[in-house]
Order: sequence, then structure tokens, then C-alpha cells
Amino acid sequence: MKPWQDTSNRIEALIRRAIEAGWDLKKLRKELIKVIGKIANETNLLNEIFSADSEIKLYKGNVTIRGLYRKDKSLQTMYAEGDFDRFYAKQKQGINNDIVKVVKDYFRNKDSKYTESKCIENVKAVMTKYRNSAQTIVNTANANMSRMINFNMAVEDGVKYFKYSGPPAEREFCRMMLDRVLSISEIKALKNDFGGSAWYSCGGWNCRHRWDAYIE
Amino acid sequence: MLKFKESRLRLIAQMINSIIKERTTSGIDKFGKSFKEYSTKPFKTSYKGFPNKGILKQMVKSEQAVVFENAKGYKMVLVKIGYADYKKQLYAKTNYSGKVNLTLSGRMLQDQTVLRASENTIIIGFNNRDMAKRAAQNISRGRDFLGLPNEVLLNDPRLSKLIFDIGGLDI
Repeated sequence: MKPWQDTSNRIEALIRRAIEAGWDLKKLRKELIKVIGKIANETNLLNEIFSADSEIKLYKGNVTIRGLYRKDKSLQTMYAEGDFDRFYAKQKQGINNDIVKVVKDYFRNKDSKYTESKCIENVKAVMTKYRNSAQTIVNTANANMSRMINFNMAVEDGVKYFKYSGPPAEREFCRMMLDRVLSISEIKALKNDFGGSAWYSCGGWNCRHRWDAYIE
Repeated sequence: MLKFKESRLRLIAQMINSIIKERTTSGIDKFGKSFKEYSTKPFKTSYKGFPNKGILKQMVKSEQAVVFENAKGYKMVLVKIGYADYKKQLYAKTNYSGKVNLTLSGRMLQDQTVLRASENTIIIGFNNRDMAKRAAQNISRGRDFLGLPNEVLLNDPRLSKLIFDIGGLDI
């Protein structure tokens, strides 16, 4: 059985047990947090975060071999800014809170239309939401690494200007920036609509754009 | 044999990398022709890799896609409308014209980089193994984007300025 199916089954079993034994919410919450904590260590959520982590290490390896970044701390800064440990802890807490909220709703409304299966469906939806958001974080972090490596290499190679390039834009920021040529300092000072650095994250989450070296 | 100074060769490599990306984004392959059209046949893709789950929901509702589990227990998506229409749906909010530009998530071209620029040799490739695989798949499907024909190499004003400037030679 996949960990994902197992997750739903274990949460489902716990809720059923709580209902049968007539636990109070405090006890159920305590048990749920225990189970979810354990599950989080086994499910893809953690694996996905770790795969991004190992990819970053791989990039770091490349970077050391090629000797391009010895003096440049930006890659390390990016890694620190990624702060995967903190992100993961926050995600785990978010899952706990959201699932407890779903179960609370069930207890409040269990005599009305809120059925047991609906409660379990909602728990599954919470897990899916967090898995998807973990995926976005990982994809964006990987894209940021690629952009930063290419940008820094181009600077090392003597490029002074970059062009914001890529497919037709969806976001306002990208629409405004597309095909514009900026200098290194202008790019480093630029913030996207999410308040992040446009230098390595361009328009932000899942952005499809990039900075191409521009030589006049 | 005449040799480029390494600094000049690295600049030429960066320029070539940019020209390839720019050309690919505009829908032209390495031979100067438009890319082969995307397929209209149904195809399978992983649920995890589906870029926009909101659009997937809409597609399932309108019976344009089906979510299922394969024999190994992995969640998959069968897109019935084919890749060409699928991509149009994904980017309906942009002014995407349906032109083939090898850009879905944008990751492949974001990762394309200069792997080597020394000893009169330039190698353009990928840091990330998955992106290299993606590029190889595109090439094997007849959409070859990696490379520059000689006429571009010699006639592109940005490149010829770098190539034919005697100051860039190691003499």
C-alpha cells in the first residue's frame, strides 16, 4: 500500500475509534497530532522536500567543481533563504491545525448533514492541499537554482545586461517585464509582486520566465 | 590554429545560449523551421506533474480528462483532448497562440546553460539530469532546438561582432 493511501486509512481509523469510544475533542486532537506527525515522516511531503534539498546539494557540488562561485555567497544565501526546515515545520503545523478544524466541524455538526465520510473526504482534501503546495515550493526552488546558476555564470563570463525572456506572460509583473533589458544592479534590486527577488525568482511561484544574457 | 581568448569564448558561448533560448521560445528549430506541431492524440501524464490542478478539475468535469491509478498504484491523468489543446487550456489566460515553443513549465530552458567554453570548444547543455532528459525527448520527437547553423553563427550581428573582432583572439 502506498503511504498516501495508508495516511487516509490511518486517520479514518482514528476518527472511527474516537467516535466509538466517545473521546473528547482534546484527546482526539492529541492523538491526531501524534498520528499526523508520524505520517508526515513517511509520506511524500517530506520526501519531496528532501529531494529538493539533495538537488541543491548536487548543484552545490557542480558549483564547487567548476570553481565559479568560490567568492560568491549568493548560492549559500539562496539556500538559507529557502529555509526548508522552517518551511517544513510550518507545513506540518498547518496540516495539524487544518485537520483538527475539519474534525471539530464534524463534532459540532455530527447530528446534521455532516457525515463521517464527508469528514474523511475533507481530511483527505487538507492533505492534498499541502502536498500540492509542497510541490510548488520544490518546483520553484529548483527553478530559482537554475536561474541563479545561469545568471552568476553569465556575470562571471562578462555579461553586463540581461533580458527578461520566456513565453507570453500571465502575471502583471511578467507582462510588464517581458523583453526588457536591465543591468545587473537593476535586476538585483527588483522585487516581484510577491515581494520576492526577481533576480532569481522572476515573477514568483511557478514562474516560467528567465533572465537571458544580453550582449549588445 | 587561431585560438580564441578564453574570456571571449565564454562571452560567445553565453550569446549562443541566449540565441538558442530566444529562437526556441519564438517557435523555431535549429534548422530555422517552425517546430513540428504538438500531437492531438490522447496521452497519459502523471497526476503529480500536472501543472495546474484547478484546470485539471475543470477538464475532468467537462470529460476532457480522466484521473486513474496505474498498475503500480500511481495516480495518472489521461488527457483525451491531446497535447495541443491541453496546452491551450493551461495557458488560456495568456495570449498563447498555440505555437510550439517547448515551454510548459519553462524549467527546461531555464536550466539550459554553458557547460564548457574553453580550447575553442563550446558545449551547451543542462545542469539538471531531468531537464537533459526532457531536451533529449524533444529532440527524439523531431523538435531539435540545440545548436546553431553556420549561417547564423557567421551572420548574426551580435555574434559576428564577438567572433570577428581580432581583440578576442589569443595571439
